[in-house]
This record gives sequence, structure tokens and C-alpha cells, in this order.
Amino acid sequence: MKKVLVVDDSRFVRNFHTNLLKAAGFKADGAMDGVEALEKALSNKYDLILSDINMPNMDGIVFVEKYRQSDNETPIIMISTQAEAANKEKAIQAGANLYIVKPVKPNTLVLHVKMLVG
Amino acid sequence: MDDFKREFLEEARELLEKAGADILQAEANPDDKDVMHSIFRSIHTVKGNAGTFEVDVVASFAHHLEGLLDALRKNQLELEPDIADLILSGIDRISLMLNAFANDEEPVGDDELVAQFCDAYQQNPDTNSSSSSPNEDNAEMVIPIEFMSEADNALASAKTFLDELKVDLKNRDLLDDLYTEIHVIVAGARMKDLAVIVTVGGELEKTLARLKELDSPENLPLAELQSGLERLSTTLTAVGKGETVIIEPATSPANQPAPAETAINEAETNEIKTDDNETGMLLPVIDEEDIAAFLSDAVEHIEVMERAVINYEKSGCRDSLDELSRGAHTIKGDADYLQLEITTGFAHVLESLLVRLRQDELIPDSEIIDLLLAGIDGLKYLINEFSKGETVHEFPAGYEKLAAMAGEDGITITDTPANGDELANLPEDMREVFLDQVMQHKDILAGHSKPPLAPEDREIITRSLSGLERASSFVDLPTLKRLLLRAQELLKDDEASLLTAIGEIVSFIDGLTGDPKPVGEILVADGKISNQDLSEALEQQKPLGKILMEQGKVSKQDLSQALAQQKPVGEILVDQGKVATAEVHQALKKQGLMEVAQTMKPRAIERETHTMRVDELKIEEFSNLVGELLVARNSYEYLINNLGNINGAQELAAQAKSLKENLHLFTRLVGNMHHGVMAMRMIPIRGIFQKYTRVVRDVARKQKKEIQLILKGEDTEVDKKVADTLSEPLIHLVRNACDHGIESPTVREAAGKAKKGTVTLSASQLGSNLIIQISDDGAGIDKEKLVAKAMNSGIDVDGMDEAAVLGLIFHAGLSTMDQATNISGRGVGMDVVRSTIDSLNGHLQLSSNEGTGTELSMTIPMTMGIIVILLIEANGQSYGLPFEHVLETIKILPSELRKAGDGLIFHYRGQVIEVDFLENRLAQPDDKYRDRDCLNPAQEISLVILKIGSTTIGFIVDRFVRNMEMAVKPLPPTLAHIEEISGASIMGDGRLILLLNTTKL
Repeated sequence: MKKVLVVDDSRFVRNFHTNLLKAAGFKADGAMDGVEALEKALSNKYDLILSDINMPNMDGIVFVEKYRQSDNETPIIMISTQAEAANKEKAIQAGANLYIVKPVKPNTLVLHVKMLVG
Repeated sequence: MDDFKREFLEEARELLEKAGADILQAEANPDDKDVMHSIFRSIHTVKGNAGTFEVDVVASFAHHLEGLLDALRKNQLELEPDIADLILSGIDRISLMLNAFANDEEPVGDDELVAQFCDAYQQNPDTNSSSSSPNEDNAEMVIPIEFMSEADNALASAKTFLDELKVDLKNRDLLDDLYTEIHVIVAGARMKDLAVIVTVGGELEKTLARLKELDSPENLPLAELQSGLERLSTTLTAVGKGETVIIEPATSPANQPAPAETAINEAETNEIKTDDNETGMLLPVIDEEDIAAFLSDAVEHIEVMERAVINYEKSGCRDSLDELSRGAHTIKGDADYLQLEITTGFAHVLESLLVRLRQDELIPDSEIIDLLLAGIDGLKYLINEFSKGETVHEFPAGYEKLAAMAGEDGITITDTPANGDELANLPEDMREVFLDQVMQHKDILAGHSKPPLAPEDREIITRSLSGLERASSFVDLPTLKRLLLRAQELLKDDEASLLTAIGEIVSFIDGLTGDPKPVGEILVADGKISNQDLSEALEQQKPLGKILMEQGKVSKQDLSQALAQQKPVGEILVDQGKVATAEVHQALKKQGLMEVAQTMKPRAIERETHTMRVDELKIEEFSNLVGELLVARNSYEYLINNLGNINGAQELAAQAKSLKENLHLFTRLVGNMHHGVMAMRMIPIRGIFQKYTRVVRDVARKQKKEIQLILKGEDTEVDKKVADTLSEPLIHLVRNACDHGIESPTVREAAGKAKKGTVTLSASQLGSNLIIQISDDGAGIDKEKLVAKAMNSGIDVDGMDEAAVLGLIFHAGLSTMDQATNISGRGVGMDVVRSTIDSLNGHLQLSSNEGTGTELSMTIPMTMGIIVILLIEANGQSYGLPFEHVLETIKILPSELRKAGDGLIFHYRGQVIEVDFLENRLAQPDDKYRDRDCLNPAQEISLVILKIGSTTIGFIVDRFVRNMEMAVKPLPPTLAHIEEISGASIMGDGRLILLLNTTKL
């Protein structure tokens, strides 16, 4: 079973995403900020990481940058409501494979994840 | 009670309290306009929330109060004491109405008060001197601006209600709402003597009143209402421009354009319906828990945001702004997942506005702050509607303004339908997602393939290619996959061939997406028009039916017939035999996310819960302590395991030492935890103290005295329970001080005092005691009068010292010295003050000097729950005595006790005190009393001296054990009637100790 790490500071989104992905046949873990995400991502093998950008303690960009120092393989989707091109570029440069702009429909998100997991 | 309702009420009460306190402050500092703004906002928030909860009486009442406050904050009006009175009565009335609402009763407004509000703020616009009947002569008609804007608002709402009513004929609430709006206009116009409006509006009002009484509202004369509304609208506009208006007789309702409008409205609703059914998208399992989490999170965020706005306004600090942004951002994201497009869009503009503030593009003036608050109100409204299971189709009020300030055109919903031949077989949603990804990769590749390639570029390209590769295998697109594999092979090779391979991929992707876009989107993409232009243009697009009708191609009947035939997609599919009805229902169920929200509604909380807010830091500290405690517990386990392997006394001693050390650690932790829990219960006394400013003002105004209240030590933290318990008795004491203490200005002047009397309320902490003092510089207590009263009531005051005499006022029946005023008459008497303090194990100290004032000081032990006791034994049983009452423990010979009548006395430090065997006080009356004769004259006895209030007494006990901390548990209900015992606890060895209630011995 493919394993996904869901990173989001909103408890609601986190639960929602993990449940959504579980329903779609994935295993899913949650992390509430970049710090927790980094710790989990480095100690587990995930098939995909889905991360929010705007988070307390360590934001998504910093988290992905740090994570990419040790692994350039695992696909990462960054998801954020900020549609500005600057943010997208930041995410891609930090190491995201894909940048999804909210609003995104739940099944769209699942398809994105499925497609990127391959 | 419903969670939201409770939140609303709690907050409203806080706001009203704050507004009350602010008014007093505004009176004291007339130049401080910030306070006026703050009051305005408090009432505004209450109004908005009341509207959300459909407590319209409150909303409309608050609206008028708000009008008055608006005039004040705009300097159109001075805050005279009368006006302040008016506002305070208004606040009181709202409180009353909210109380009624809380108890599910019908709240009652106060029209007289409303009329007074209106009078106050409409009579004195800029020119106070001119007489106040503006339209008596039409030479120069004064246009009542406040009224006009109010009326415009009401009219706009009325129009909306009527429109809704056309669609939803049976909804009586709408009729009521419509009536209320018209009533507001008419009442306002009457107040302003605007006869034309009163006439035109009055007709409509009457019609509505009549309709409201009808049983079958289906046959509403919609046309008549429509034309009435239009007439009112024209009249209002004319009056607003200062034109003279001639009233025409009402036209007959026949041949009005209104019915056509009705049809179109039906058409529109039908279209909405079909639309909804067509979005047959797959919804994931959103369970109740998700929604509950969303709601509770949202409410929390909104609360935080509201506080943050206030903070931000006060301090302009970045943190509050960040907090606001995070709130808006999270709500937006969460709402998006529930596909609440309106909420998402609304939160989006709010967030954008915040971004502009963060980037210093806007200056946070009061307008912006109001806008932010309006934004939060809007969110609150949306969340609340969602929690009720209502679907909102329109942005709440303030959206346009927010969007304009935010420099946003509103949210853009991305939708790129596509059809490349290669993708024709894919399901539509998958194709969309695939194209979305592919386009993104194309952009990334195009953006990062400019030679020379930096190492970072190569990494980005690698990631993009791998993403593309996975996606293309997922949708099974071998052509693209081949291209990708080649490019990936070239990654490590020379730049030129890699770039060519990438170029091929890019153009392949371009080929995939050669579909035409909607005209509007292309125009936006080309920069010819803005998003706003587009949405404005789209708004102008009319439903097909309407256009055809306007062109005369179809008649109204044709259209309504066609609409009647129009069926939802589901029905058509069933008719065609494509799906079963059950399947449609199931699909509809999936669609109806709201139903989930509705099913969770019955989870109402019946029992009223007491809640308190606890500083997060305190909880965090506490959690840390619990963590440490677990560690200490584990060391015990380890140490105990070691005990089994001990050889010899030396090792045993070492182990005992470790155990002891761990015990010390444990003791420290338990102590800290005790403090931690206590700290959580502590709240600043400020909240209670501030209430009294109002009390003082009321008495002063009523009795024509001048009194200032000085508060000291408002930051002193008190146990929440103690604070709640003290609140009522303190009101009585403050009132007493103002009523009986402070004299009238003339008396004071004659006595050579300042005209203005002072009442001081202070709180402080002394050791583990809370000290609350209330003092006044008034007349003091008339002791002779007090003694006379006591004598009349049959109390022998012979031999009483001054403190004891003063203590008399705490006795029931003597409490009110002068019953002439109604101020001290209400509420609790002084005896209740005393018993309250007793129940808290505290004591009172009163001192008074005739002519210079009175001071009452209350000492209350703050270690609720855990108290220090002196453990003693009497008659073989262990008892605890509250340590704070113990003056001394001494050993004496029985001969030092003297007999006096039936009892014993003892000379204690120059004072004669009563002495008794403790068990005598606890025994049944017919039990055999012990007396001095049963004591061995040669053996010393243990005597504990207690000071209870102003009485000192000695008890003979078998022995003193030690003092210790005791966690007091209340007695079980069956024993609770035993007054002499206030609680119980279990000792380490399992023995029971009873805590004696010293005041009852």
C-alpha cells in the first residue's frame, strides 16, 4: 500500500486529507507543521508528501528545502491558496514536483496524488 | 443549548459589559474618541450577531442604539449625562432581551427608548439652535441624513425579502421580515415628521399587517407589494434629494410588471436547481466528525480573529495581523474542502485585504478596522448558516467593499475544459487533473530550460520529468512516456540534446491542449479586460427565457409552461430508463453535503455548562509537569525492582536513600501540579471590579451625589469560583458605601470635605490570602444608632468592644440601618455578605470613624480545595482544624483553668477566653459531657487556641499530631447536613479525617 504524508496546520484539513486518501486506498500520516513533517519524512519512507505552505513553526517551503537535501526522489505536492506565480515558483524551486492551488475538489486532489505516485 | 447560541450569548454579554464600562470611561474622558469607537463596535457586533441568530427584536433595537453611538463617535453629539443614561438603559434593555432569548422566551423591545434614541441623534445634527420640525416650511428643508441611510438599508432588505417571497410563497417569516423593514422606515419617518413617507409607507405597512394575519399566504398580492415598495422607493429618493413629493393615489395592482418578474425568478431558481443536479461530482466521505471539526475550528478562529482585530487596532502589532491572516487563511482552506464557495471567496478577499495591510499598502484607520470587523461578521454569518444546514448563495454584506479595498476581483474558479484526441478516452475529471499537471510541468520545464542550466535547474527538471512520467503512465499515454524516458536518459548528458528533448515534450503538451477557451477567459489572459470586467459582464447575462421574452419571441405563458416542463437531470435520466430512482436518490444524497450537517444538529447540550477560558501557557506548563511526573513514577518502578536484589544493609540504605530522593522529587511535582491546577482556575479580578463602576454611577446619578470609584489591584488573580461567589455581595457593599457612606455634596462641603466622594475598591494578595478592601470617605457608621437598634432588637450590647458593635451590622435584621432608599434595599443584606465570606472560610474586618469613613476588609484564603490543617485527636478520633484559625497550641495544667458557671475559662494573654472539650462541641446534647473534674490534675493538657472572626476560644484535645496539607472532599449528601464538619479526607494510612467547621463549633 502506498504511503502518503499529509502536512497541514489545520486539524480539519489534515484529518480530511488523511481520511480522503485512506478512502482512496492509501496509507496516510499527518504532520501539523514543517518540524513534525521533517521528522516523520526523514524517519519513514513515504511514496508521496502533500504539504501546505503557510504553517507555523516551519513553513512548507523550508520543510521541502530541508527534506530535499536528503531525498530528491519522493514526489512532493505543495498545496496552497496563494495563487500568485511567485509562490508557485518558490515551491518548485524548493523541491516540489507539483503545485496545486486551492480551491481544489477532493477527487481532483486524489487524482493528483494518484497520478504523481504513478 | 446550542453551542453557537451559547457562544453568541456569552460574547454578547461580555461586549455589553465592556460597552457599559466604556461609556463611563467616555464620560470621564470626553475627548477620547477611541472609546466611542469601541462602544460603537461592541454594539455593532451584538447587533450583527443578533441578526445572525434571527433575534430581530434585538437587532433592530441595537440598530437604533448604534445610530445614536454613531452620532456620538462622529462628534455630531455631545455625551451629556442624559445621553449616557440613555445608552446605559439601552445596554440594559439588550441584556434583558438576550436573557429572554437565552431562556427561549420572546424578547421584548422598548419603543419608547428607541424613540428617545432617535430623538437624541436626529434632533441635533449640526445646528442645535434651529427648531426641530424640519419640514414645516419647505423654504429650506433639512434632509435627515441618518434616517435616509437607515431607510435605504431597510428598503434594500425589504426588496430582497420580497424577491425571496416570490419564490418561497409559503415562507411566513419572510413576510414578517418584510413587515419589520417597512415598519422601521415608517416609524423612523414618523419620528422625523416626514409625512409623505409615513403615508406611502403606512399603506404598505397596513397591507403587510393584514397579510400577516391571513391563514393562507399563498394568495399574496405580490404585485401590490411590489408597486408599494417601488412607490416607497421613489418617495424616499425624492425626499432624499429634498424634492417636494405629491402623493398619487395607489394604482390598481392589475397590469403591473411584477408577475413577469415572478416568473423569471422562478425560472432562475429552476435553473439553479438543475445546475445543482448536474454537478454530479464524486464527493469523498465527509463524515460528521470532519464537519464538526471544521465548525469548531472555524468558531475558534473567528474568536481569535475578533480579539486580534481589537489588539491590532490598539497596538497595530504585526502579531495580531499574522493571527488574523492565519485565521482567514485557514477558514478559506477548510471551507474550500467542503466546497463552500461563498465562504471560500469571502475569506479570500478578507485575506487579500490583510495581505495588503501586511505589506503596508493600506493604513489601518478606523474604516479599515470596521471593514475587518465586518469581514469577520460575514464569516461568522456564513459559518453559522452552514451549521444550521442553510446554503448561502450570495456574499454577505460588505463583500464588495472588502473586495474593493483588497484590490481583488473576487475569487476565480479555474475551469479548463480540454479535449486532445489522445485523451478522449479518459474520464473527464481525470483528464482535467492530468492536463492541470501536464500544463504545470510544461511551465516548469519551459521556465527552467534556458541555457546555461544551473544545477538547481537540472534538479527541478528532474523532478518535473519524473512527475510527468508518473502521470503519463497513470493515464497510459505511451507517446509522451517515450519522450520523457528519452529526456530522462539525457539528464546527465549534454545540455543541448536535453534541451531539444524538453522542447519536444513542451510542444507535445501544447498539442494536447489545443482547445478553444471561452471568449472571456482569452480576453482576460490577453490582458484586454480584467477579471472584474468579465464577472460584471457575466452578471449582465440574463437567463435564456428572459432574453427570449424580451425579444418578444415567447410569451410569458410559453416561458412558464416551458419552465414547468423543465425537469432535473435525474428525473430525465430515470424517465429514459438510464438509471433507477434509487440511484438518483443516492447520488442526490452524496450531493447533499448539508444533510450531514443537519443530521449532526440534534446533538444539543441540554445541561448548562460552566466554561472558563484558560491561558494556553498555563495548560502547557501543566502538561509538562504531568510528563515529569510520569518520569518520576518510572523511577519508582525501577527502584522497587532493585529492592529484590539487595545484599546487605549498606545497599539497603543506599536504596532507601534513592527512594527518599525520588519521594522529594515526587513531592515537588505534586506541589507544582497543585499550583498548576490552581493557576488554571485563576482569573484577574478586573472583570468583576469593572462592573461596579456602573453601580457607583447609578447611585450617584439617582441620589445626585458626586462619587468616584477608584479600583486598585485589578490584576490580582482570584479563583474563578471565589470570584463568582464574591460578585454579588460586593455589589451590595459598593452600593452601601455609596448610599449610606458618601454624603450629598452640600453636606460634604459643610463638613469641609471635597464635594466629590471617593469609594475605593482594592484587591491584593497577602501570603495565601486574598484581601479585598472597600473603603469610603463618607459619614461613617453611626454607632449610637446601631447600639440603639440592637437594644431594640433585644441584643445586649453591654461589654461589647467597638469591633463587636460594628459587627452587629452583619446580623440579620439589623443589616439595613436606613431602609428609606431603594438602592441598598435590593440585593443581599449584610448578613448574606457575612455568610458568603464564612462559606469561603474567610473573615471580615470592619472599621469606621464617624465623619471620616468606613473600611471593610475581607480576607479570603486562596488555597481552595487544599488547605493546611492542624491534625489533632480528641476522644480517640482524628480531626482537622483549619490552620488559619489556629492562634496557638499550648500545654497547661488543669489547675490553670477556672470554672465559670457551667463552663471553663482561661486567662490567655491578658484576655479571658472560653474553654471547652472539643468533643463536647461535637457530641449529642444528651451525651455525657466531660468536664475539668475528669482530668488528672498532675498531667498537662493540650489546649488549642482558635480565633474565629472576633471570638477567641480554647479547645481541650487529647493531643496535637502535626500540621499537614489536606485535599478536602465534600461530605456525601447524606452527611452534608452536619454543620460542624465541612469536609473529609483520607490519610496516607487509610484513616479518615474530618475537617471541622470552626465557625460552627
